[in-house]
Amino acid sequence: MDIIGSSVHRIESVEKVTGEARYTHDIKMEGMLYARILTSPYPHAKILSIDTSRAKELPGVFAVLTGEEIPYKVGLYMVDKPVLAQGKARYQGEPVAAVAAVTEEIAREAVKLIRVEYEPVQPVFDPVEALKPDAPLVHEKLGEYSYVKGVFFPEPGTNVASHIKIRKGNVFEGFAKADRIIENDFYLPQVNHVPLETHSSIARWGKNGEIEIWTSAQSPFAVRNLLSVSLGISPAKIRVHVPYVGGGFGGKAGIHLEPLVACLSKAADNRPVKIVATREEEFNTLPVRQGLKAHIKTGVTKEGRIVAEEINYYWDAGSYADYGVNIGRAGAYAGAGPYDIDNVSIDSYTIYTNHVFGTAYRGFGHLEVLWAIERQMDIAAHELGMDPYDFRMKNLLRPGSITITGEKINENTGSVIKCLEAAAKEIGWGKPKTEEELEEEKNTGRVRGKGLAVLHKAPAMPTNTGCAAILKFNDDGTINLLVSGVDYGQGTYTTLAMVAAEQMKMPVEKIKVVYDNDTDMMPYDWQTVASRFTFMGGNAVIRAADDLINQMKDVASRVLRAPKEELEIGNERIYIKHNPDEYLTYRQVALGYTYPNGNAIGGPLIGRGMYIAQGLTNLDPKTGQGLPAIDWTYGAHGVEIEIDTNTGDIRVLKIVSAFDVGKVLNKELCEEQVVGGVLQGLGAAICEQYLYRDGVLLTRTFTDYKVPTSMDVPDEIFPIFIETPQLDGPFGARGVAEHPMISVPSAIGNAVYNATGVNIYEVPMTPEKVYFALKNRA
Amino acid sequence: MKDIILKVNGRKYNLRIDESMTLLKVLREELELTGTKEGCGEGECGACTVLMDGKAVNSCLVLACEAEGHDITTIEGLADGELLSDIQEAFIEHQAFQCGFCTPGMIMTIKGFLDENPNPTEDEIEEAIAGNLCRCTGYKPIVAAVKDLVERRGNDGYNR
Amino acid sequence: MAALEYIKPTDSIEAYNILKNNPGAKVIAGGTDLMVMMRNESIKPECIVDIKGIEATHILRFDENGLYIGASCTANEVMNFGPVKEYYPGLYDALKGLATYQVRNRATVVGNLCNASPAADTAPVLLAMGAYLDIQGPAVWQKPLLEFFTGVKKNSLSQGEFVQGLTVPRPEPGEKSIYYKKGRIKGADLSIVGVAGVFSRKGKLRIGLGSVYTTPVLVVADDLLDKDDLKDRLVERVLNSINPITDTRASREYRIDMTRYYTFKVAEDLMREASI
Repeated sequence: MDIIGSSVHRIESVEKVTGEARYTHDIKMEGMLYARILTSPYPHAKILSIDTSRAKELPGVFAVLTGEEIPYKVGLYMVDKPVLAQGKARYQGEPVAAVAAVTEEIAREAVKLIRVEYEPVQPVFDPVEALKPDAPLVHEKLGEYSYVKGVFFPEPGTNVASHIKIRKGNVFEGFAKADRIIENDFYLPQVNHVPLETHSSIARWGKNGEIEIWTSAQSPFAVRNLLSVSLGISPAKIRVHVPYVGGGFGGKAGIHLEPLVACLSKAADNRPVKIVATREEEFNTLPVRQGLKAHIKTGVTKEGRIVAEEINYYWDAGSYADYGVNIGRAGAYAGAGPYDIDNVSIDSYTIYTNHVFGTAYRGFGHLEVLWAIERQMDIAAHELGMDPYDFRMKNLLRPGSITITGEKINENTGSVIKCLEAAAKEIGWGKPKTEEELEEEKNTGRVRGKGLAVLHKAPAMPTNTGCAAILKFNDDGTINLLVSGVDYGQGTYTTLAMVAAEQMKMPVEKIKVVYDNDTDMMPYDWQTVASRFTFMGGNAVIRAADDLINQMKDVASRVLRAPKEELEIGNERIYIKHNPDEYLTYRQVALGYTYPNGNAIGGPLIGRGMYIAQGLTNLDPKTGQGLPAIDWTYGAHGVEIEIDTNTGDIRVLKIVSAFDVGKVLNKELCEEQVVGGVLQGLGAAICEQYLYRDGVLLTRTFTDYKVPTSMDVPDEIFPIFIETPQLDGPFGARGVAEHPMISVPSAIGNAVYNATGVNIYEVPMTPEKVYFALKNRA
Repeated sequence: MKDIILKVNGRKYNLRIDESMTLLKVLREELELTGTKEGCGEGECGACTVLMDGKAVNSCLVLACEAEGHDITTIEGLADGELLSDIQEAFIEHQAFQCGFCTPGMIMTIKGFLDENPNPTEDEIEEAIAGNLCRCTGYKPIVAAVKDLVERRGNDGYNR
Repeated sequence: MAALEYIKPTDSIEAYNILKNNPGAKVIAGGTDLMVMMRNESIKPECIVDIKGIEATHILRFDENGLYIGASCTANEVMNFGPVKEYYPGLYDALKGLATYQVRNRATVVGNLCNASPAADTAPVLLAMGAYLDIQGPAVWQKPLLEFFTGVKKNSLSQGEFVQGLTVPRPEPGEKSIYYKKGRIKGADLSIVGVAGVFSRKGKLRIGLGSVYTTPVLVVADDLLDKDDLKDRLVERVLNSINPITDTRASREYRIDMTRYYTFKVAEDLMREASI
């Protein structure tokens, strides 16, 4: 393998450094109108009346819509989200009415002319409070919603959008065997994805009833499918384009502003309508990562074996759980971490509140539950007087282990043990501080500590998730590769070009991955989420290449008068194995072979390949047993930090991140995924959080919501890759897009304890939080 | 409405604009120079950075009227045809971008900064780009690209 | 939509007259605060008066009277002006930590003061150094910075008046200044607290504070210099002079503790430096 494993620059590099890459933000169309929305100032309020008459009269206004006029609901797993609030608003920031006008300024003025009469009703903000029998209901008609049955379990008449149960062994018997029981609560607030390009969509609803959309989305086919279901229109009448996308991180999975602009277009004489979310709307109106309250009870023997674990996860889904229910599910089946525990009981509740609603966010469910689990593991080790490394090593999954959903781990599943070993070694785990270092700490008030944390994640997706790829020859023997997953910078298109080039035995420069994503032109792919695109797209591309090679050999065997089995490819030639001088070039067969006399055979060759998830099952509703995971990527972080005890500031000196990726396909891009993901994890660890006052979001600008800047990076980020081949992965690879940010908070939290002896139970570990934790210790 | 003459990337444009329009809006909507991005509109993210008389500024915080009489350079003005500037080349060499949305602003900040401080320390580089938020790269490849570029310029005195 | 007028006078009196006669007019210099306020419609000016056309606002000078900073001088221009780092290190620190590099290329020092945010980074050190403003009214008159701040985002300018520049007195030989800012992250952030100090053995100890009161605060402690427990008494006096709030950036309690820590640190660092 020459290409696989090397470092190939992103194929779209020049477009991106010159500003030529066109994003949805940049698109302007003939006759285009601009949309603005009116949002609810209340977290929970009945909408008594909406008067749009003055807005409609403003010159330049083409359409004004309210929820009453477009009674559609959308949702990926739980169809609970109206396009515009209907009857009541469920969060402050929820769209209540929308305007399309000839300029953005007129649309904004028109929005101000809309009068809404609200009647505030009792809100609920805390997911645990929301479980109480007398809690206000966020969705009174939960029982009438459609959702993916057999996978999610809503409890009508309550705020529970879904309740997932995992039962393995018998926790009562397990706790009976325990020498110690450790019980703790952990918390994570909501956070934002912060793509630099805010959500943006353009739609034109044609007079022929067909809808065309251009959108900053991760998944063109999911947009098409969900819009089709919501509006009751055949997907064949919907065409979705996805140009360059300025960051997604899960926040642009599923469907967002597309239905709104589509409806506005229909109401506005079928003119194209564009909306660009302001940064404030990105924070306050578009979805977030869910918050989590966790309660964990762990039983351990004095030898350090975990014998029982009982967990309750309370997800703050916010006002809608259309995607959120699957986070509660993923957080459940992965909810005990990569550990071998005989007796486990997990209850994961996705709970409606009157906060901004949740959605997928890079590694969804996992960063959250692993904050709780990996802190809990350290605390358990300390209570036993054991080294947290040794404690983990006694309990981690290994070949022969059975996961909490009943899956058997084998030699090729990947090794979390190897990841932890590598991370611990590189960070210098267990190396005591020297006398000088201790003296220095005393003098400066800056103390150092190290922390470890492990992680795992599998793609969280439906059992029948599919992906297809097409390879088309061009005249000169170069190839266009068509896939409809979206490359929003992670580099999958480049990697897929490498996969195609490797399989086709030709230079990667001769594979063009087509960037104009278009559901009318491209083969199907479910969604670009869950670290699944390289795995599934890679497999589809390999199959497409094999299909193409087979067709090339068909033609060549006739021309060369040799059996297909005796043909081989290489160097852009199809040749006879034992007589390589007898060959055809790719170019000769690309569009059909022509004999010297003019006869032609073959034809323009197109390879097609598809891949569908293999062997996945729904989970048993009562026990959660089944196969949810197509592949598990394991990892571990080792981190060294310095805490200024005077201020509570955390400085990350070094973070080592090891992942069992199966096979590194593109070294440079794989490392970049790690570096970028680690910093995003660091943001969740030390500075990012949603803050509300009485349900009104306070952190809705970059002034109030801080993300890490170039000055906040760790001194060193050190990626390590373990390669235990995934037998059904492309060249043995697994996904690693989300994993780098998972468990970064827990590793840092563990390092805080290591440095100071103080346990932190809530992120973000802001200077203030760390400072008072230290101060209150005394 | 006001008539102004704006000089962008060496070209002069006669424009009739609303006085409340920002430089960013005029660049993107009137001149269709969409390489300059809007990430927040409040001077916090740096995606809209352009050069004004060689100095990096947030074009969302400048009224187009204020820009009259000044030389504006946007990302579109950096490459000479297909010949990229050395900063752009360094960005490719180090793959200092992922989604690419912050990249034009990032490059313009670095252009302005290096023209002012050709020999920065790593801390100074990190400080200079702290007003350009990037959510993808973790900044490390960007800083590496600038450090490498500074070294190369120092070695062959080359500055394009 | 109310139309906006943009005027760029070249003469101070002309600017004053325009402002005087247009209650809806606002001065723009750097515009880095004004543009944000206009965007979120917390202000809706009818007219923008760009004072960058006035030559006098571009003066940046250091002489026997001290440092003169014209109203159009940007944070980066001032920071990179040679004498600033040498004679006004506290101001240099404050400018270095002010917003971002791009913002500093537009934002002006005078604008930072006129915006009158309690968190204005340059205010604590300029208060501690005894800066005074040149105010353009019917004529130019001078006002101590200390009397300028009247509340959160409120200054004492009368209708039509604008600040043409400010003077920071020349430091005494051996005078030291310093500024520490505590934010939530290391990158650009508004301060949780900002503490500036000015010290000279000849009898000057001044502490300027940001983000701990409705206005930037000056604490004069010249009288403490000969006391044995100077630092403790200084901290006590400082804490008695502040009344911080809890907001999204920090709690009142954290602000108090950080004020204590940084005041102590400022005093310690200044005296250590002065003794070298």
